[in-house]
Amino acid sequence: MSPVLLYLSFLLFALGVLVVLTKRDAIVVLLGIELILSAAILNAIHFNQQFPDRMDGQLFALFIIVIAVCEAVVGMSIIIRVYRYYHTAVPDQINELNER
Amino acid sequence: MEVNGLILLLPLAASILMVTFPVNRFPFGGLALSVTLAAFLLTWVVDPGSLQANWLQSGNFNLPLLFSIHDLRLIRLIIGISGLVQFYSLFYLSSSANHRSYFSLLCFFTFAMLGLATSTHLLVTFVFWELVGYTSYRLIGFDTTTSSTSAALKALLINKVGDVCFLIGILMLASTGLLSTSNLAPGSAGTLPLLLIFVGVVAKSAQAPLFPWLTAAMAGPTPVSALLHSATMVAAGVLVLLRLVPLLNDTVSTVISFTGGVTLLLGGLLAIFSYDIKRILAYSTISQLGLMVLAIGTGAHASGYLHLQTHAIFKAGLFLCAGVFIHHGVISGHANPNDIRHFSNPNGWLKWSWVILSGSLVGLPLTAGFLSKEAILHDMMTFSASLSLFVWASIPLTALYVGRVSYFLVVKKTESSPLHALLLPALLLSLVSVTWFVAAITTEAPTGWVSIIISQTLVIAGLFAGFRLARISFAEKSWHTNLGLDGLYDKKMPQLATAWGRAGIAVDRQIIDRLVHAWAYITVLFAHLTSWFDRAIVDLTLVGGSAWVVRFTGQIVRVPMSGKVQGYLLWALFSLFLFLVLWLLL
Amino acid sequence: MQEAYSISEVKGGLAYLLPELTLTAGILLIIIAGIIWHNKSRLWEISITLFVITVLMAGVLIVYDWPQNSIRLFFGFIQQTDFAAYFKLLVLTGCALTAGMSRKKSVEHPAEYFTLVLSVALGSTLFITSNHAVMFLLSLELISLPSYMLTALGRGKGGAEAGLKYFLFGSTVTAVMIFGWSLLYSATGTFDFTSSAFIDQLTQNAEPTAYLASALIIAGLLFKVSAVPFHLWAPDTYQAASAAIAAFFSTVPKLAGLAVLAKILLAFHLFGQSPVPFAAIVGVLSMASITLGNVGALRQKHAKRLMAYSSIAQAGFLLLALVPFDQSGLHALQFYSAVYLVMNFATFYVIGQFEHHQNVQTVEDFSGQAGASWALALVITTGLIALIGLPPTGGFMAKLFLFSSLWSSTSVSPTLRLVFLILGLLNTVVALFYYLKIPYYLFVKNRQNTPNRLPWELQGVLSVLLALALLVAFVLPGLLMGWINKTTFVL
Repeated sequence: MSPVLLYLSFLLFALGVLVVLTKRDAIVVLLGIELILSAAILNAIHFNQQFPDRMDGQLFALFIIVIAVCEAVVGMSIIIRVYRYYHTAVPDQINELNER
Repeated sequence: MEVNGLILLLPLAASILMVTFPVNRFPFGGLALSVTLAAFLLTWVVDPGSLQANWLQSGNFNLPLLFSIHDLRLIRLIIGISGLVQFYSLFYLSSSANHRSYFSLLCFFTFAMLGLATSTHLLVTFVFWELVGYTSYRLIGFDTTTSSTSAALKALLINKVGDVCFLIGILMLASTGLLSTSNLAPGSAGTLPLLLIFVGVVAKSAQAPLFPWLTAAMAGPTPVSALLHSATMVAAGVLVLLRLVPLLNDTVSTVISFTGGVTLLLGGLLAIFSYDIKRILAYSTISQLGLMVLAIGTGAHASGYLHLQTHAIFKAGLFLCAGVFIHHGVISGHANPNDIRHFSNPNGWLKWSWVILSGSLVGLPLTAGFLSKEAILHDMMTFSASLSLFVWASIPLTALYVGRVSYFLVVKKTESSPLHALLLPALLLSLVSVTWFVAAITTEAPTGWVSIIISQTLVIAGLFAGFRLARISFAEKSWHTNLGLDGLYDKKMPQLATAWGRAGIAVDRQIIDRLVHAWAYITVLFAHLTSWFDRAIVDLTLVGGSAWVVRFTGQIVRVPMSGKVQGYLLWALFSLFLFLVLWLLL
Repeated sequence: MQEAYSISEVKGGLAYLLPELTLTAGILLIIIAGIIWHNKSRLWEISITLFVITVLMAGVLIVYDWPQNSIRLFFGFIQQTDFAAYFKLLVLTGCALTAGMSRKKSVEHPAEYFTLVLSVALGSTLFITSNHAVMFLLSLELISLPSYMLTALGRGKGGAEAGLKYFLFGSTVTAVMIFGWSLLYSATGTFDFTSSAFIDQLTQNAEPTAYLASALIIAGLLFKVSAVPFHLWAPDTYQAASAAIAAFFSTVPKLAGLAVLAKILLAFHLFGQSPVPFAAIVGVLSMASITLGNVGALRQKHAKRLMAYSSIAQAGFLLLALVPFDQSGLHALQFYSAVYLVMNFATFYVIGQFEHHQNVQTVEDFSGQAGASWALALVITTGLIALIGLPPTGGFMAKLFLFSSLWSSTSVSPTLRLVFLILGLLNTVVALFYYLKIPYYLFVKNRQNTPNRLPWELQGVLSVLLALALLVAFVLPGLLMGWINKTTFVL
């Protein structure tokens, strides 16, 4: 197990969270989510090397890719629908439902 | 890298190149054509052999890419017909159409079809099978009109039914380790997986009762119809079936034979009643595919395979001829250019290539169709005389509809417009058909003079009956198209479901409504009692207490609820973080 | 120990998966119906018929094939237990009730609508039985993605906005959870979270990564049950969704999430050997949920938003049932879940009908509406009394079982136990204020108002039946509890 890959995955995770929280555009937020997922994929494949006789880590990674694709598809379609009403994809400007 | 692989990779590379090409105005057709030609020429250079590469290897799981480049004739056929279709499309396609995606799709289709035809590992076959399905979906829906889009969807959906069964069948075979088709032991697989795979074949090769997609698929451009319904897409099912021949047991063979036989006669019957040239050819394809499936089911797989190849040539040619007729009709401004009654014959060459190609379809001598049809007939007579009745019945039937169509196309007077480039591929194909006969008659000559004489008599009688039939005009009835199966899918099933819904509503009205009225009485009574109770209690507690509590606590929760989703996330993740920190500290 | 991967295992497992297969078939049929028919009204009739048939069939199959003991299927991906079967039945009941509540007019695309609801049902049933991280995540996504789409398909602008918020919030939390799973894999070397290898590994090498990972995974599940601090999506989503969908979201995914949370927490708890005080943590989370939910609900004017906060608070109570970490706590959870399903639907049914016929949106709009339908006014009052936890409703019995199992448990220190108990009871009092606002406006305010009478419909009948069920659950709790007592929880 090389710690470098572990650091890399944590870095990816942190970057992903940062992107999700700070970027203005919903599509970029979506990219941030993908970054977090790629951190998870990296982890799964990396840790699988400890157990060469099994491949559940790789299996997991494959399924995460599938999940990421599905999420991206649904997300893009929702963003398009929002854009039709608001003419923007900036979450900060889409706040008609709130406590006030 | 071996040279063999290039045959597969060239079309793929061309397709990718076209999609990623930076310039929009570029002779994409020329590029596609030259690449296909190069691949075609390459088939004469290579030595037959196998290709192997590792695709996936993980743990003890191993998925090899296995291709067998042995049957060069089939490969040449696929590449050759693709090339002719590309050439034809150059002139057929309007200049406003999206050439880039059209030709890249054609190239990709060639690649997928070649992969399907050569792969010897069933999982790999399935991948190409899906690629073929996807590309055909894109091609059928290429004119993005409503009708062609829905036709594409129909083709995709019906094929998906087959695909799912096919995949399940493959997985069941996998558990017995029979994935590589090069070392199949006879009778070692069960019946169920083979039947499931056969469902996939039924859908892909448009056998009864899953054939309606093929007639709907005629909404695509005519060259695409020629490509899909001749050598390629529909042949995919037959090719897979041919691979599995060693595994077939009696039950499966019987199912296969009867499906094929029924399809053979059904397709022929339906072709008699239509006036739409593309539809007639589609029914004819369905019928001929039925013949191949029937041949495979009865054990005459060698002659079935031969028929697959000759059929590819003459059916592609017939479609390309039909395309010329339609093209001519469009130019002269007919409202319904597909209707054979309106056809006029632009050129004498066209007439002769039609005659040769349709002669090949009915199996007249001097054409390639004669070889394969008589071979099937002969083999069937030896293997199963009773099942050969299907074939005997189909011979005059085929001649009947061919005669009827030819009456409209050939007997009419011929205009003498100049030889158009569109005609060349059809001419070439009819030439190939004749040459094949001449070249093979000495080596692959059919035996059994009696059956040849009887069948030829039947053909000629059928043709003449067809000429007579052409003069009788009849209205097209609903069952003439797809045997009313469309009606079943689109009308009867909704009626059934609505009837079910109505019954539910009736129960609702008759029984539930009455219960409701009874209940209403009771509740009103109860309501008067409780309303008094509520007034007394609720007035006391609510009015005094709630206002104060609301004002006091409301601000606490209000802070994070700004309506901005990233704000929500920040609060949520921050509290998680806080929680973790506290956890570590405590 | 890894089982050998073989197709016969898959084939054998399919026999135990009939309800799920039925649901899948139903989904496909409705999709096909949506392709074939274009007339909206007819499509509606066909889809709802298919939907109801599918759900009923699946329910019947579950009851018919009630698992007598725990069965591991598909190399440990799925584990069928009677505990899971019970929750599956609850989930399907929720779906059937949602269908009964849906209205033709407020659904723009019937086939898509029912497909998505049925997909959530399928996801939930698989989620409840999932036993392996891959199955867990796939079924979780099968719940989440259709939920996002259902929200976004809701009415106009609000629906789109709520859909986006729900999606961004949900997929971020899910991504974080997936990261948690990948970390947990490093600590345990297996994704099968009920296997002995998993528990052994967690017991032997207690690393910080394992704790971090379990926190991230629990966070993802808290989002599903909309508990604090991952509750923020709920109010916006419920407000924009139709009453049927709001009721659906507040029950089906929540109960599924809860069943899995119970399973996962028991695994993390390591039979009490874990150095992390999971019982106390869950207790604190539950208190936070109840309090924040109640306090938030106090100032709400919009009826469905109020119900959103109510569902956050109820999630807290449901979490409280996990604190004892024993059989009686889980039985209380099962009872509370069933009663919660009924009382929540009873309330939403009435809200939906008033919203549809009298255009009631805010709590104040209810004023003087009792005259429109005395029966419905009584039903919603019964439902809200049950949500508070007062007699003579099943809600009272549910809270009684809950607190008594908490009191007799030994998983947390007596002081903490007392604190939880007092806070929980205090919150019940707070809940009185906002829940009774609706009956107050209905019966007391603006009594001169003579509203149009509501027509009697199927919805009305069902809501009355639900209210009756609540009363029965108070009088004869043994009917349900006797059944629940037969189920045993096995890890």
